[in-house]
Amino acid sequence: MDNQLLDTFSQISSQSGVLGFVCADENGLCLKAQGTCQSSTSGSYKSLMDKAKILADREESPLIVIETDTSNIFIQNNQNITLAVSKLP
Amino acid sequence: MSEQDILSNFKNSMTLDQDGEILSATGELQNKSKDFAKTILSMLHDVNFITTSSKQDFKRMSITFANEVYIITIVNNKIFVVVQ
Repeated sequence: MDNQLLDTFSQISSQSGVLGFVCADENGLCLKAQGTCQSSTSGSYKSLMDKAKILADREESPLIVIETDTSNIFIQNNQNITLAVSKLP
Repeated sequence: MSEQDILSNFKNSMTLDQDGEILSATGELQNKSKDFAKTILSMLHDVNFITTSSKQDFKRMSITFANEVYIITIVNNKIFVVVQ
């Protein structure tokens, strides 16, 4: 895999409070999953992002935050990659 | 405080039932079609898959664009959407 990608992944996981992350490609297929985030959810994150754009009828990608009882999940994407990072609240 | 009291603090709000039927809508969300409600429901199904696979309880989802924020939560089997 791309070195730049691997460097970024290790940077993310070394941040304090990060429980895990999932990275999906433009088809929703999992590029990398680590920690509490499971690779099976990669498609769901991509799908969430696509639907959010339909909801607001916009081209721009929003920041989506899912708050649960044990973590906050931050989701962003560009054309190629969707990234979800799970952090302690 | 009743639901109505809390919702009256928000200019744009929508309430859905678990099947995605629109129970009430105020402000800009009054003009939204059933597709809007269906998309919200569909997003919550995705969130449910995500939270169930990590055994977490969903509290709230916020979708932040440049100049507006959609906030979605579920209370008493009803889905509340507000836009700020």
